[in-house]
Amino acid sequence: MNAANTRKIPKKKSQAYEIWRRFKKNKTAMAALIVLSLIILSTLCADFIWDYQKDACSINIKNRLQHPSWEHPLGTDELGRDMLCRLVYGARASLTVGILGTSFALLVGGTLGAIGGYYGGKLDNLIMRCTDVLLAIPGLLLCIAIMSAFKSNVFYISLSLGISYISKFTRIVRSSILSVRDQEYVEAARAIGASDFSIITKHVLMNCMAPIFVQYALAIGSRILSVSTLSYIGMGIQAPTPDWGNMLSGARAFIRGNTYLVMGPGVALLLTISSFNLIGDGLRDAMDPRLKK
Amino acid sequence: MKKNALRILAATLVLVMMLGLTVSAHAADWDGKITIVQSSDIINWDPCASTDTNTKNCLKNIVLRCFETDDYFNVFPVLVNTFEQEDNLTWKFTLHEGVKFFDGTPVTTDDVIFCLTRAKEGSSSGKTLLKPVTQFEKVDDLTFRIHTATPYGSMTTALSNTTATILSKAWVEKAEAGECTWDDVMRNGACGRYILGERSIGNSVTLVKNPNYFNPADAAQNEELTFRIIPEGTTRTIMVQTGEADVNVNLDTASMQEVLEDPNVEILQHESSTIYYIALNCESPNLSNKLVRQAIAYAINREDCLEVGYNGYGQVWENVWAPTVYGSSDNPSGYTYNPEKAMELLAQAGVSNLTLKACVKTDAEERIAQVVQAYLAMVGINLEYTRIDNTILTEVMGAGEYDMCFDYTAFYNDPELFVGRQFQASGIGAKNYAHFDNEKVNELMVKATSTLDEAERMACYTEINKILCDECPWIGMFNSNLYALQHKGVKGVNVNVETTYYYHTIRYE
Amino acid sequence: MIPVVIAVIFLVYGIMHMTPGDPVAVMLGADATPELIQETREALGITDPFLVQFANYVKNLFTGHFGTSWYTGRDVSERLFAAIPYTIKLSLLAMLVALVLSIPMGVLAAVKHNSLGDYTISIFAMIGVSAPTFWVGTMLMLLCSLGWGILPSAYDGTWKSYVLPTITQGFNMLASVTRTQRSSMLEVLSADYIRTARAKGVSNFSATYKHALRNAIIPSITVAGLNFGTLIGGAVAIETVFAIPGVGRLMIDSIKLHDTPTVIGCMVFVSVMVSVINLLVDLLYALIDPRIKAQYLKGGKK
Repeated sequence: MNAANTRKIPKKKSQAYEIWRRFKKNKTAMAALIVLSLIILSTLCADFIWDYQKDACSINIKNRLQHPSWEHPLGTDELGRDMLCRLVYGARASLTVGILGTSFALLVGGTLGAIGGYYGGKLDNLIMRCTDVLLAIPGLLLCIAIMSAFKSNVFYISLSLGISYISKFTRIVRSSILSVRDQEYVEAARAIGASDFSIITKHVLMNCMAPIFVQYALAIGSRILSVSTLSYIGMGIQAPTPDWGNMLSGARAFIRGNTYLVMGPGVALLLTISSFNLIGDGLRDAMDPRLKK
Repeated sequence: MKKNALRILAATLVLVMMLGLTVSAHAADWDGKITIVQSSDIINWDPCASTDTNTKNCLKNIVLRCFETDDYFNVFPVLVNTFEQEDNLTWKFTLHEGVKFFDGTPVTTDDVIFCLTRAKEGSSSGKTLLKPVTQFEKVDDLTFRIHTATPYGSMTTALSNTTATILSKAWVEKAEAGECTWDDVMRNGACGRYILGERSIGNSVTLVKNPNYFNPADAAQNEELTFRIIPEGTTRTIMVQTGEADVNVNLDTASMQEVLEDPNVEILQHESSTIYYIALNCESPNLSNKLVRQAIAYAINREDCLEVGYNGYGQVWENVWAPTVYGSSDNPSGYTYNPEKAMELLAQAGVSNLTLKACVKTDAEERIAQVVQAYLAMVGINLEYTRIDNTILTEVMGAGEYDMCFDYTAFYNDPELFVGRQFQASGIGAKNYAHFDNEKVNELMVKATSTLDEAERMACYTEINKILCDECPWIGMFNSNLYALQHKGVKGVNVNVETTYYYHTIRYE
Repeated sequence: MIPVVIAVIFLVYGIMHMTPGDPVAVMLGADATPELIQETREALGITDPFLVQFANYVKNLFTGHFGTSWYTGRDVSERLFAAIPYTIKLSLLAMLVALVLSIPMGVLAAVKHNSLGDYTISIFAMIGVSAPTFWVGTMLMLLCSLGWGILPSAYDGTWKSYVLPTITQGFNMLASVTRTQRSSMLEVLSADYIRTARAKGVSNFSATYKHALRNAIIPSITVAGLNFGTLIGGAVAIETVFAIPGVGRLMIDSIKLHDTPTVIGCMVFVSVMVSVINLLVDLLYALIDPRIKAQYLKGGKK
């Protein structure tokens, strides 16, 4: 008994280590992780280079709509503010909206989906009907409705964009669980008397991480982009706080002659979304027991 | 599989190519149709209820008024044949004979008096414009008199306002009773150069030439006018460039550069009496102190507002009234950009940590709001703005939902025609967004309207203008030029000091 | 189905109920007397308790009435029904574009796992999801309308004017379906039964496209179905750029006009439509995956 326990503990440790070891081997995933870390690091360190009030918010009309140059690597916007500076500061609001909203949705939606999918029956039915309700209201429209009723700030925007994603995660987790629930290895685990919780988390959930990660990564990107649509219709984050969404929509009147205005935030968004995706892929590959050697 | 994907891609491309040319050559084989793009839909055909320029400009083609105005607001008679001022307090008008509404009934004095009375009682601009009127008197079916309490020199200008539109009494009464729609009124009960044709809400409005227009010399020079509702400024410009539309009456100055380089389009411009301004709600606890309002006027750099809001196409203007208005002068109160003075005034008023709520309606105003926001931040005022629709500006400002609003307006030359609506108690809840009510201004207005002496009137107006500049209910920012964009070869587009007007002369030759 | 729809309406109605703004002030203008305002309030029923208002609203819905617009003074359905066909056409076409392009792309990416083609497809799809629709739309417009002159820039009633908005919208949706298709395909390809099939001598082509695709396509359909709502939400920007008088634009206009009944009407309509689509997706599952069909037949019990 004792011996069995001592053997079990190091084995758990080594599983996380094993995943990390395999993840490290995946060059693209590692590159994505580094890019993402750089983005987060740069926005955290922005205060060492710029003064938020002076560089990101105050205007300088003489400098407006400058094409990229050494002084302003990404040019300046219609109010003469440095695009690079606003891009870096913009990551704060954008990533907050993306990660906070999506994580909130994953937590709530994933839990509901796992419970519903695993237990089935009336509980499943109830959960699914609740998510049907949420799923029926398009996320952006729900967010617009909430925004028109309340004041718009980063926190409200994140949560209201998140709410609409709950049901998506519920459905994805549930359908993934449905497809593995009756497989032999789960039945085997049940047969040896494993608890429901450990079966769900250890055996079932672990095996449907792939679609969840793919969705999570994409959701973050689409949440950030939703904010740009919100800004486009005048309900986004209040100026002068920079975020990638209002930078993109603020540029719309000038995109014909000043395409670079869209490039900065667009590429930042592309890098962020791709990074999340590639990391998701990498993790999936690393966790897939079938690829284990 | 790769091959399959390629095949699909190729097929898509071919499909796109096969769509063929959509751009039609205009000048050569013009079919008599003109397409105009504007930013918003027609809101309400009722002339007493419509306030926005796009609605009014469309409406003016279907209806007639007693008088119309040209480029510089000079008035000329249309529905009225002859008119005279019998004495200081009486005007006499005779209508053209043989003018018929679309349904065939003749236009009579009854219709005119009904519509003018309705305007005087039912619309906020009518209330101001026809305020001196004491009685509309019918003489016979084509002749009527208007009696006023005080001498009213601007009577003909007042009658040229959209609110004084002449419609069939029978049809308006039906519409008011809910027995027919206002669309029906525009198809039967008006007498203008066009008849309302098909309408697709939020998308387009088509007007068809009125074949029975009473004055053939003045009839429409095109067969059909289509108004397309295109909210996005870039799209509007591109449509005129490709020839999908002929005239863009709401040109977004942000894409001016690209437009200037395109040989397929022409820009029309006109000096204007349009002022971009900020209205400050004098009843709001945040702004009830005159010093705070003045501080805001000093804190803003107007050049930057002009540059960002209108790409520099205009001139900085500190006064509340346009340069063309009687009694208006250049910067009488010395409101140039002066942040120190602004801080001083705020300190004097004992105000700190002020947060103001504003509303904006257009992209240009939103950009100006960002500039103002940055400048106000420098003197310690925090500005938050919300985007709303033009239509509800009157309501939200009347209800005091916002401390201030960003807006632009064109001015009549004679202050008598607008002061009551914009700066007196009678206009609160309507165009007096500032909730401004000043004893002295009221007295001076009474004095100005009751005198015949031009010099004395002018002195009153100058005095009123000074008070307004000092009290700062509105802060003037800049006087914009007016632009319209037309496809190459289009003739007859009129741009006046207020807006693009009269679409019946638009044609290709 | 019906309870879900009613719950959806309840949620939407509840949220919009909290929106500030007094309809009566908007309707009557500044000159109204307090008595008149009070009378009109009572006539409109906005002095009733929330639940009573809600019950009345639902009751009216079943007779096709969406309430009176505060703005036009006429029934909301008038403008709403005029706008619906545009949005439905746009969304269905965009969905079609997205599916037709992304399923082959996803399969290709999975089959050629980690090859150059895989990366190209991934990047292409990523650009689709990270480029804002109003930018893609404007660029396409500049290229196809102004540059080549082959397509109209704004909606003009012809089918040609649907091409650009549809591509823009579909491009935006490409990524999620492609990614899902790719990852589920990868999963299935490494599954035992495919290996078994191959071992049994089934040709590689048949194993991939007949056995694997059939299983791997299910998550893609889920995601596409789930994205239908997003698609309609995204129509807000597309409809503005391309001047399509659809539901998205109607809703945005109405929000700016503080016309709450119209906003509720739009939301209710869109939500009901999305619930119907979701139901169809569920049914489609059963059609494709016999395991789930069997489960449906057994009554959902494990």
